[in-house]
Amino acid sequence: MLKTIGKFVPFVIGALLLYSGVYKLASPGGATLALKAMDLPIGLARWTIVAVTALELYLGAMLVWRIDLRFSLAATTVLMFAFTGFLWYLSTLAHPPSCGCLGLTGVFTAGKRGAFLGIARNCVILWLLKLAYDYYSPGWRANPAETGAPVGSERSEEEQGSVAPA
Amino acid sequence: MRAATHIWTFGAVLGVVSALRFVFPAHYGADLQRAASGAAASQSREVEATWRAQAYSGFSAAKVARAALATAPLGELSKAQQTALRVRLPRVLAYLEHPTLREYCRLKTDGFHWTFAPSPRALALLGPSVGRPAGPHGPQDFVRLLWEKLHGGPTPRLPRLTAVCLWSVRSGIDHTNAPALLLAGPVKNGFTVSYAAADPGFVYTGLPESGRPLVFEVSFLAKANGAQAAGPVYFSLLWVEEDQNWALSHLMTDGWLHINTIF
Repeated sequence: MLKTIGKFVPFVIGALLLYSGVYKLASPGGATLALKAMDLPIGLARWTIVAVTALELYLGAMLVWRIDLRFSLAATTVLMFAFTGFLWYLSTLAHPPSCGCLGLTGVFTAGKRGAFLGIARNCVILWLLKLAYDYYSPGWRANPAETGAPVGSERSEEEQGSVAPA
Repeated sequence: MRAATHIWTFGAVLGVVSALRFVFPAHYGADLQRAASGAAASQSREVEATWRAQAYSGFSAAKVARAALATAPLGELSKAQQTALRVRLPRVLAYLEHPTLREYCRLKTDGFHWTFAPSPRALALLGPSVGRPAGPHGPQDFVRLLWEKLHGGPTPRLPRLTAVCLWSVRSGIDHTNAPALLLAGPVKNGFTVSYAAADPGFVYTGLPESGRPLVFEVSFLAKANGAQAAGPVYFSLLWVEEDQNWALSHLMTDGWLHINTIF
């Protein structure tokens, strides 16, 4: 069951990142202000959001179209850890602003509760990324007994993604 | 994909995202302003909700005065200052509960040597049609006009305090009489947007021109009539040595209380 989930995680997380990137492309104000809460100068906050938006669009596209999948999953994991660290910082503020990450500002209301819910959401995403990484790692086929995969259920090279740059 | 291809692809995406910032600066400027005002409103609501969640009881001048005097460093005051404060403080609080023009004028003038020079803010509030007060009843008439201007209008409302959170009462002694420092000084109780009550223009001649002023400050969370919300109220009393009494100095209230008055 978990393995099956792992198979579809890249598409789901990729779509989420694409959505978030497009959202920030159209409306980056909330995320910029959230960075400003860290006492960053507005100019630096603005250009950090530009970089994050580009990163989300780039990784989102890589995941959806399964390009260098293991590299994309690892890079997305690093990005999610960074987002989670940022949310943790926001949760320590007395009255934190809305995080503006993943474009889900409408779902989670601004403030401490929103930051805690954001951390919980990111933890789920990180676990999903781990599942996907396990699913698409070459060791899965090499040692099926360890991963619990059914014998003979081999996947195509495309499903596994390329392991190293060609 | 080779590493170089990754770098070029990411660079291209970054270039497009950056270019959009330069192509549509007005859109991004407006978006940031919209987000800023939305965030400010949202944070203000959140702060107000924490104030409203406190325990409130009906406003009682005697109870608030007792709580304020209990936490005040009275040892820093002389016997005369303490005695005057024990009389003055409940009276000021009673006025905030049941404000009247008559009581306001008495609090401002009774027992003090004073002159009257309309403050620029008071003149701006009344508009150019109202001239400077003249004659023996000039100041009273001027204050009455200001009172009616602030509390009348299409939706007349005389703001008064209706409930108080006794746990939040703070008091202290300071030697600066700036309104901004009142909010951030020893009686700091937070605020979202602060409103300063207008000073009509009473000037106490008994105040020394230089030297450190002696200011007694009080703050507490309260509710006002006509507003469901709660918020902090700050006021300060200034010691007038010549008159041996505490004069009304500043009144600052949070925007959530919608208190627009004179002090």
